[in-house]
Parts: sequence; C-alpha cells; structure tokens
Amino acid sequence: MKISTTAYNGRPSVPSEGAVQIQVPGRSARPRGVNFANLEKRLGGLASIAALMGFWEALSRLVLPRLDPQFAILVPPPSRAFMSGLRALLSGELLRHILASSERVLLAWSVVAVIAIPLGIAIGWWPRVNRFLGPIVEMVRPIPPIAWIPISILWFGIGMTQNVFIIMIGAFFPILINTVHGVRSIEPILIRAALNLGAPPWKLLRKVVLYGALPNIFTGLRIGLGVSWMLVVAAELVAATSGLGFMIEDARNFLRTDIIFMGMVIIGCMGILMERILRRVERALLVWYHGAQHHE
Amino acid sequence: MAFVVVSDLSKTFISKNQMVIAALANVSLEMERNQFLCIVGPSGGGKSTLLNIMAGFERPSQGKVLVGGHEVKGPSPSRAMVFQEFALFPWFTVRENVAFGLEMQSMSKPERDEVVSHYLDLVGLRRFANNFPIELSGGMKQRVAIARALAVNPEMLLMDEPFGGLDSHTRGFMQQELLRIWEKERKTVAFVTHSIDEAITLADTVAVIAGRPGTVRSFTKVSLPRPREEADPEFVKLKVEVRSQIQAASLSEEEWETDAGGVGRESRWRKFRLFAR
Ligand SMILES: Nc1ncnc2c1ncn2[C@@H]1O[C@H](COP(=O)(O)OP(=O)(O)O)[C@@H](O)[C@H]1O
Ligand SMILES: [Mg+2]
Repeated sequence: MKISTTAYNGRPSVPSEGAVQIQVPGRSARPRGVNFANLEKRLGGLASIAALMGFWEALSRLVLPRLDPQFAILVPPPSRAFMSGLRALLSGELLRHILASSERVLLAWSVVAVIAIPLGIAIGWWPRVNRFLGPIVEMVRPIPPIAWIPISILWFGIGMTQNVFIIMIGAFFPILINTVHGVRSIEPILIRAALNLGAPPWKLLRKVVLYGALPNIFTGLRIGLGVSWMLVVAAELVAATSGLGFMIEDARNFLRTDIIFMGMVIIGCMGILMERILRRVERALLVWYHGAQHHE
Repeated sequence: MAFVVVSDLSKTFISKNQMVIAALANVSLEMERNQFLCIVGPSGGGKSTLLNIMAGFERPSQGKVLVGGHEVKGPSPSRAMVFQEFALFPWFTVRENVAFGLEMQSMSKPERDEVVSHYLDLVGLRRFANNFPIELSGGMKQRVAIARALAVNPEMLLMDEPFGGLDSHTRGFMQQELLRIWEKERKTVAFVTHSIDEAITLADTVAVIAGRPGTVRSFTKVSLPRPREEADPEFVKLKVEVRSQIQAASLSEEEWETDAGGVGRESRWRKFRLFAR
C-alpha cells in the first residue's frame, strides 16, 4: 500500500483503492526547531572554506611578501578583498555595477525567451518549419557567442546594445533547442487524447503542446540564464563602462587585485542567486511535474 | 441498420524496414445502441488497431466504419476513447482534465463546472478535484479518464484495455464501477481486453479477434444478469466456450505457420499486391 505524505495546500492525501486511510502529518506538523544534523552539514561545508581562507590569508600576508613583494600584490589576502567589497558596497558603487549587469542579462534573456520559445514550438511541431529553419539554426549554433564580439562592437559600438546582443546570441540556442526537444518529447497518446476530445489546432498547441514542453522549456531557460550571466561578464570586459565585468577589468588597470577577486566572487554569487530564484519559480509552476516536494 | 457497422475492415502497416504488416483482415461487426461489446483475443491480434480505426486515429486500408449512419473520418468527441495508459494531461488538475473536452467546445465556465462536478460525483472523485494526476493511484486515474470521456457526452465509448495496467484487486473494483456507471449513463461501449473473465463479467456480447492478421472468430452472447459471479456455472461454461474459440484460432494459426513456406508465400503475395495498387 502506498501512503502519501503530500497533505499540502489543503488537498487530501491519496489512499489507494479500498485502503485504510492513515493520517500522515503534513508540513505544518513537522518539528520547527533547529535541525542539528542539517546544521552540522552546513558547518562542515563552512569549515573547509574557512580553512582555505585562513591558509590563503596567511600565505599572502606572511609568506609571499617575503618571497617577492609583487606576488603579494597579485594574490591579495581575502580580508582585504572583503574590506574593499564592503567599501564599494557602502559607497553604492558595487550596487551600480551589479544593477548594470543584471539589467543587461534580464533584458536580453527575457527578449530571447519571448522569441525562442514560440520559434522552438513551431520548429518542434511543424516538420515544414523545421525543414526550413533547422539548417539555419545548425549553421549558426556552433559559433561560440564570444566570437560575435568583434563584429558586434563594429555594429553597435561599446555599451548596452552590444552587451545585450552578445547575451541574446548565447541565450537563444539553449532555450530554442530545449523547447524543440520538449515539443518532440510529448507523449503522442496525449495528442491523441486531445484530438479525441475535440481540440482544434490552436488550442491543441496552447493547452497541450506548450504545457507538455514546459519542463524542457524551463531547463532551457535555466541554462540560458547561466550562459547569459557568463556572457555579460565577457561582453563587459571588452565593451562597457559599467557592470561587474567592467569593474574587474577597470581594477586591472590600477592593479587593484583585491577588487578583482571581490568582483569575481560576487559574479559567482549572482549566478547562483539567479539560478536559485529560477528554480523556485519552476518548482512553483511545475508542481504537476515534480510532484509536491517539501525537502530540497 | 445497426448503430455501429464495421464492414470488411482491413489494415496493413508498413514498418520502418519496409515490411508489410497485416494487422486486421476483413473484420465485420455490428453493434446496437447501448450495447456493451467486449473484444477479446491474444495480443498482437489487431484489437487496438480496430479501436484506433473506430476512433478515427487511423485510416483503414480497406472497408469502413459507420457510426449512426456516418462514416468515421477522423477523431471526434462523439466517440470518446479511454486508453490503457490513462492519457491524462499531467499539467491539469483532475477537474481541469475532466473539463478539457467541454472547454474545447467553448462551453461557458459555469455550465462546464456543473457538468464536471456531475461526472466527478459519478466516478466518486469530487474530493480530488484539485489534485494533479501524479498524486492519484492507477484506478483513480482511470476513473478520471472515464469521467473525462463521459463529460463530452459521447455517443459511444471506446476502451482499449483500460484496466490492463491495474492490479487485480483494483481491476475487479473498476469493473464493478464501470458497470455501475454504465447502468446510469447508458452508452454504446466497445471494450478491448485480453482477459476472458473481464469480457464475460462486462459484456452483452463477446467478440473473439485472433490470428495474424486478426479476424473475427466468433461472437458469444452473454445474457447472465449483472452483477455476474465468476463461480457461476453458466459463467464458467461461457468462459470455456470463449477460451476454446481463442485456442482454436491459435491452433489453426500454428498449422498455417508450420505449413512450409506458407507464410512467406502469403506475405510476398501481399507485398506484391500492395505495390501493384
Ligand atoms: N503503427 C504501427 N506500425 C506498424 N505496425 C503496427 C502499428 N500498429 C500496430 N502494428 C502491428 O499490428 C499488429 C496488431 O497490433 P495491435 O492492434 O496493437 O494488437 P493488439 O491490440 O490486439 O495487441 C501487431 O503485429 C503490431 O505490431
Ligand atoms: Mg492493444
């Protein structure tokens, strides 16, 4: 007998036919206090990072200056990177760069989503569209997005438009390809069922094909966002006057390795943050796919 | 004329490696309105193919299907299908699944809600209206599929081994549920199964389809009152009868296959005829 533990949203849990229904505590009944096993795991993770930082700090403060003062500059102690990060944060400078990069990423990524999802559905659904557009996609796709940087600088100059263009090139294909794949992986029997129930073509596309492709579309969106975040940095390194990529490139000119490292860490954190947010959204929208999950 | 007329139906598939597969040959049968027909036979006998043609998913290679005097030309809600795999839309709740066909007809929301509630009550799943299919057991999923099929008010139900994927306990329960529902909402039902017991429990008439290609071997009327008891001597008698018909079919099949080169000659001839067409 299966016992469901998914008494959530006020929906009843599901007994199998004829089974005695057993009351299973849902989320609210779970103990709220400190989860020690979990805490220990997290602390364990922190400990290794702390050890690395300590080692690094000692290395760049005590060992490197004695070997060669230049090494000490090239590998700054983490505490100095942290302090300069704090200063940049307080002055508002850091936030300005974060916002500039985020704006470019979100703009490019959402515009691409609006184009690539319908296009992917069309390519996946109508073989004719695939025959026509497929070869073009296959020709452009293998070109690494950063190979577009030189021509895009000539086209758009330096700044927002060029950065957004590069991100769009990079985010486009993961979203497109995953959408196409999603459409093609819909179970044919669901299409049959929909036709049997009288679905006209347009509703079939919207109510069955789009939904059926949604899990893969989300995968594409997530990969696309990751790629976007990498590319915004690449684009800003060479063609921007703001943004995190610009910030670390600018710091290079002044040998401010503390800012460079601080910037690198923040770029990494922002990437993780965006991925996390998108996963949350996905979990909420695709309950029917993932099932109701209480633990991560 | 009978409500459903299947006349001289044949179907050949061409497989990926260009083999000609004869799935059905010269199948004819008739169904009266509100009749419960069970189609039994070994797997690979073309039962699903027959149902898919009746549903309008596949075109026959020869012959035709008339329902209510009209030739079947494509899928239609008037011939609602219940699949062995349930085929519920996983992204819709139970309620939304049952409402799907009505929404396709652009029925207004209040009207739709009323019809959906009626059928959810009928299959006893009102409580689970807002659950997703992933949260239901197999038997419940199939009850949702039945409610979804009935909600569009079809002229007939086509059921392809609907209980084939369920455990035997749930299966017996679902058979009784189906009969209860059928007593309330009289429909013409074509029900495919490979279980003789199931066929005799449910049907007014049991048709045996067997062989490769599948042909109709016999019709057996079942006039026992429902609910039927498997231990009933009459039930057992019918069971023996139907089983012997299926066995006779597979025996003659074996003879045919062991007849040296018979199959080869036959299929080559079929291939030739196909090219000649
Ligand atoms: N789409 C298809 N393409 C090729 N062969 C098929 C197809 N559908 C069914 N067949 C073949 O037709 C025969 C009958 O299959 P089916 O109707 O599924 O039988 P049953 O439902 O009685 O098990 C089988 O040999 C099967 O392999
Ligand atoms: Mg079958």
